[in-house]
Amino acid sequence: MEPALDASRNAVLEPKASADGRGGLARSVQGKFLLYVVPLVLLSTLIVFGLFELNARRSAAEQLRIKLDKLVEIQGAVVAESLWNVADQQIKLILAALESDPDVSAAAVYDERNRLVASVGDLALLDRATYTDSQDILYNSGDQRIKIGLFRVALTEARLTEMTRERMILVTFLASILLATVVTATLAANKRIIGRPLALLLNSIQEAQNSGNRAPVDWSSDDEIGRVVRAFNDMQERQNAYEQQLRNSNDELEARVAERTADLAHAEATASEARSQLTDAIESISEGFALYDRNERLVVANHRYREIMLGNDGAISAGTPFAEIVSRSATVGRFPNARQDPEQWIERQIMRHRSPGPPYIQEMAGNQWQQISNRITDKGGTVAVHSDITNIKRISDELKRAKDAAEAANEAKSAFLATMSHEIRTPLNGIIGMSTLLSGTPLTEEQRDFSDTIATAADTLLTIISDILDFSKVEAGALELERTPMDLTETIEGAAELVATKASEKGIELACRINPDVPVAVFGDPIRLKQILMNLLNNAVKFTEVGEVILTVSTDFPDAGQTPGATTMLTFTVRDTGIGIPADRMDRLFKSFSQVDASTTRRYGGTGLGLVITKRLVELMGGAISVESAPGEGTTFTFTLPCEVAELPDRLDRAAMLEAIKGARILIIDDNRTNQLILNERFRAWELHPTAVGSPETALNLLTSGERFDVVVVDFKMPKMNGFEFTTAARAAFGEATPPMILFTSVAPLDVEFREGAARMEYAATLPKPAKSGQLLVALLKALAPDHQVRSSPDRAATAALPTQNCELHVLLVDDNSINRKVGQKILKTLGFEAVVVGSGAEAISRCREEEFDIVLMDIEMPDMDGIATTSRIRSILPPGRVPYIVALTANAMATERETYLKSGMDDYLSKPINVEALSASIDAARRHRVSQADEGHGHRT
Amino acid sequence: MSDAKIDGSAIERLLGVIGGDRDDLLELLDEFFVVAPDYLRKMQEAALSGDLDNLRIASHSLKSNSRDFGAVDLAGLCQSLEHACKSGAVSDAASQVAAIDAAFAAAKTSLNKLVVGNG
Repeated sequence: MEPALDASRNAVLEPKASADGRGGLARSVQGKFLLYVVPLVLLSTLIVFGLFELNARRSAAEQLRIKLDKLVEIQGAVVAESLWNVADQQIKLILAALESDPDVSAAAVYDERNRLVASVGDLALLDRATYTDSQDILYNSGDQRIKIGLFRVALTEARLTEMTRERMILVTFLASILLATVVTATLAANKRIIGRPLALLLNSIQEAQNSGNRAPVDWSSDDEIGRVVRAFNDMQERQNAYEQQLRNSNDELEARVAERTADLAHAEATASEARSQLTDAIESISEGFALYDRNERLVVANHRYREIMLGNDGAISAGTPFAEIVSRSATVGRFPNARQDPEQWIERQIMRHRSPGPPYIQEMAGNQWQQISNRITDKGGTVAVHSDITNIKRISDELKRAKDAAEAANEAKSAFLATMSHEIRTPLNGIIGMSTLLSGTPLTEEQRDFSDTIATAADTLLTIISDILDFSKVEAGALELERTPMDLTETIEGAAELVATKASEKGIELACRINPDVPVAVFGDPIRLKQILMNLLNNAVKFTEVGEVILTVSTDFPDAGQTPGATTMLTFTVRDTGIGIPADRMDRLFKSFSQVDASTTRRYGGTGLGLVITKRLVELMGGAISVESAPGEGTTFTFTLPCEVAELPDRLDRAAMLEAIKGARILIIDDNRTNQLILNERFRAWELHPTAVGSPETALNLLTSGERFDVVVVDFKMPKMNGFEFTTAARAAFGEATPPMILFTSVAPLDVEFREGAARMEYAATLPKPAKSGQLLVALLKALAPDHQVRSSPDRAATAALPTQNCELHVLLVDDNSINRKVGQKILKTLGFEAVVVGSGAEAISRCREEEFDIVLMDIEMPDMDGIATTSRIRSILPPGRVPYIVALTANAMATERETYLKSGMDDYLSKPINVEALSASIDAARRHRVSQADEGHGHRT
Repeated sequence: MSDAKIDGSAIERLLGVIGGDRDDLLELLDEFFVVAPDYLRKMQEAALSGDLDNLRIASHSLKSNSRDFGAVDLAGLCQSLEHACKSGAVSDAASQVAAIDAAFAAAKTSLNKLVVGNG
């Protein structure tokens, strides 16, 4: 900026400077000023003096004229006497005197005849000169005037001219002085007023121009110049300020530029260092690393990558396409896989490069293995990392071999275990059966003891073997769960019942509490659920010496209620008052073959597998199990099960039974608080009016006070007074008015003494503890409404104690497959049935015509006539009362098909391979079916 | 001939349901070895004549039996043929039957080793 500014200023100032240099008058202010002033002064002087001169000349000429007139007049008169006297001499004297007047240049006197009388001076002048005059000379003779001559005079202008010349000199002199004064004054004033400040200004400008130093001009006046100077100074100042500002911003700019430049240099250095570090890092990793851009061209690759792809002396430059690199490595023979079909191999590599999946493994020359992982970067490039996994691969191969070997060994072991378990179980069943039979025969005390020991040992052994078998099944993942509608109460109470004996032997109260809002039936595997519950209950009983074991079932979704199809969450809790588990041993609980400690195993026995199996089963069912325990106080196992609410036919016609006993008043006598609560709750749910007391004495008092009850439920084993004693006392006191009684007992019903005692007491029913709901209901019904027809016994154990009893049911097995026939026949045999077996639908129909069957097990898939067709034919040809309970058998184990079969006329459905428990449940159902048919009066037995 | 995979638990299960008598199991196995070729023959005939119904029933029966004895591969092949017959879209029935035949032979070897050999 500055140079340009200077240049323009130079350009402006240049002409003036050069004019100064030339020094022309018209080019300086003073010169110009003088050019204006001098002519003016001269002109005005000229005019003034001109006028003055004109005036002077006129008055001089006037005076001369006047002098001439007077001269003529006076001298004429003077001359007249002399002339009259003709005294020429005298005239000559007069004329001479006249000539002494410097103004008179000539004079002459003429007589009356114009003859010259006398003259002086040049007579020619008398005609030529400006100032001439003539006068008639008159003489006075009396009153007459006579002209006697002529007088002529000429005056000269010389004195006039001289005076003019003198005046001119004076005027010139004066004018010169005036001019000089004016010029000097002008110059002085000019210099003082304009020149100096201008010079100062010029100096300042020139100095500013030359040195850039803008000094203010030291000049003050109140005229225009002063204002100019002030304006100039202001301008200078502003210019200075502006320049300062400019300089400042320039400095700032420069500083910033310098800073930026430094920053840039620093960043460049950092980037370069980072780049070199990155390169170092990439080069130094043991993995092969390469980055390709989005066009699959190499951006960077480390030495290892090049080595992997192309061998030791492979060189790849950046920008090489991936396809080229791969095809080169195929050519070089780095990858054995590429040898067979290089094209295809290359194609595959490119595909993997383009759309990377999970890392993959590739064999390399020299029996090396690498894992290649490709990743797409954010910018669409691809990063390839090749890791040498030769060692890992070797180890993994070894591991795999070891694992295969171990698995094979394990499998063999499992198979062996399974076989052995069966091998053991078969004779064991014999031992148990025999010892049971033995205990039924008259024995001496010692013999009974031996027999009991045998039974106990065999039981334990059986449990252990079952555990091991289950465990191996669970471990092998071979355990499959059934999904059938199950009666929850029946299942839960069934489990508790099986543990009841053990509990009563130890004197532990065993109670089972099912919340009223728990659904009646859910879909599930009743066998396995029972197994879970039994494991937990057995455990609880085993580790409890004093107190109680309580199984509680509740639901987290009471709203799901009894709506079939709704999902509910059941919570099962098994609480005991046993020895408890130390906190630091909790984690071992659910582990295989580990009990809380080794001494526990010695003391309590067991394989330690029960809880592991339990946990697995719960998890298989979609639930979770947890445990809480305080040593010395007890343990609580809780597990949850998600279930779908199912609908079960009301086989016992519970509704009718409940209706029959509704509103009854019940007295409960039990010293155990938990039992009281449970019974109370159950009776309330049945819309009965229970009153619970803790001792027989209280009960007697209550009865004595006139309180009326329809039935009394009394526990056998109570302190001070047992059930028998209470009954005796009550009957003694109230006689006929004594309400009917139901006895609860945990004493083994096999005890002959007890059985005899109970029989003597004539109880309406004697129930083992914990009482099953069904049994309890039937017992109440028997006590309260003896006339009510019970459809069938709810307790299978009571009627199906021994297999031989099953001969009562007539079974037909229909299957075209000889193996299935044989298997089915054998299964039925184990259940105590001698089944009729046929191999086709046609045979089945003809057999059904000939004899009456209670149950037909019908294979579905048969040639010629399938199970469904056969079933509908049987139904159509037989009278309604004679139609057997028909169970479909099929290997098509789809849950949905179950509905199909039920819809097409089957009563039930069993999937192959046949499950003994399911088959036996079906047979039970058939039995009930037959009983209800008989009740309705249709059936008659053959 | 390679060994077929046998599901030991199936056999154990079968043994369980028939009452645990090993002789019974062997008897059943012998029966299987007699019956299965019959089914195979039926399947071959049905495959040749294009009788999908009988092909399906025979496949089903053989599937059911092989499952009893834990011959999972054999059962799987039978099942897929059965399903194919059900859907009516059987491709190359003859070769499928041939594969089943081979699977049966393998299963027989394995079963003999496992059950009879151990017994």
